[in-house]
Amino acid sequence: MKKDDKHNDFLNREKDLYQKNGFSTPDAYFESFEDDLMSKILEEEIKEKSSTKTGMKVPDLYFDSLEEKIFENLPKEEKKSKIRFLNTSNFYRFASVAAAAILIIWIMTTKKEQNSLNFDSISNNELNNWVTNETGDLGTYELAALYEDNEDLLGQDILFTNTISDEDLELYLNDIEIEDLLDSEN
Amino acid sequence: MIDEKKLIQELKHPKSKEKAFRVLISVYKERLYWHIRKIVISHDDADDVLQNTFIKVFKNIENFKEESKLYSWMYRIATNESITFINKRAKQKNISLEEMQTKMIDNLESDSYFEGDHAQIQLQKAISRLPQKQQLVFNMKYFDDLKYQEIADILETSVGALKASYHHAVKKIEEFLRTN
Repeated sequence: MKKDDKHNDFLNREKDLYQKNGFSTPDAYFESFEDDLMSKILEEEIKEKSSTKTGMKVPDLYFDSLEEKIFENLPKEEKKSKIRFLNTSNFYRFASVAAAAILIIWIMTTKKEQNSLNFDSISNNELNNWVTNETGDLGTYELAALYEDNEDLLGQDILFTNTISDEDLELYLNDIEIEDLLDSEN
Repeated sequence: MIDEKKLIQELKHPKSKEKAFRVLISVYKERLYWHIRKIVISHDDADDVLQNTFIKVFKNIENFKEESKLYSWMYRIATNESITFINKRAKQKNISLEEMQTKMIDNLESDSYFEGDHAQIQLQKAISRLPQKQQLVFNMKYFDDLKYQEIADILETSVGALKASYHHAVKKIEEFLRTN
């Protein structure tokens, strides 16, 4: 028998022995053994080069005063009100007046808000921002398709109802900078 | 030795809550402090995070379902609070997390509550260069000597994954210390 064969024979017999002796190991113990051992060796090298202490410290008596500091910052429980209404009829009268006042204020505020929400109240900046940020996915074709889809509904002349005078158009074309156009292209 | 089950019951009962909470603080304040301190580095920040951790524990103890051990639940809260704290700081300063951690270690040298030597500063520098999970695993295993299973319970991960993280961590740290 060659030397290698003898060695393998020994290893196989040993394995059988260990598996029959009733002992067991944690799952995957031998699979991670090499890595665990290497970790341990490297850990020892780190300990030799540095320390197992961080070098950090705390102010004197810090832990002694900690408990009180935490208790000071704990949420306080709300104390229940002990006010008693001696005259219940006055209470109901006051409550109904307060409820009516709240209702009137609410109606007025809501109406004001509704009135203030119209197209004229939107600033140009807000409109520009909306067009820039909210219509990013809409290209020329999508807009054209949208117009075609709603042509009947919108009326055929909807885009041309605002007439622009020749003077305004000429002024606009003379004032516009080429760079502005390039920027808008980009 | 505290009876954890009894302590939890007392913490959940309004009448005994305050007394039990004092016991809880006295048992866990130092362990949690050092766990937090190793993450946030400065004492003042560790103090803030520790107090927030205990306040969270106090406010949420009724929701603690006892599926895990009390200490692992508290460590988990402390870990989350510490990481949230660093992330917020980095965001406020408009810098990356890595830059934030480098800054924290740079400040350590002038910290009046740090008395470590050059080797200890080098070790902290090496730790700060690790990914966050490896930092946590390394700190808990190397300094706190927690068992893999305990770390796994705290970080809600497997022992196998932790062993791999620790292996990568010690390898990188040893290399850093050897070359710096």
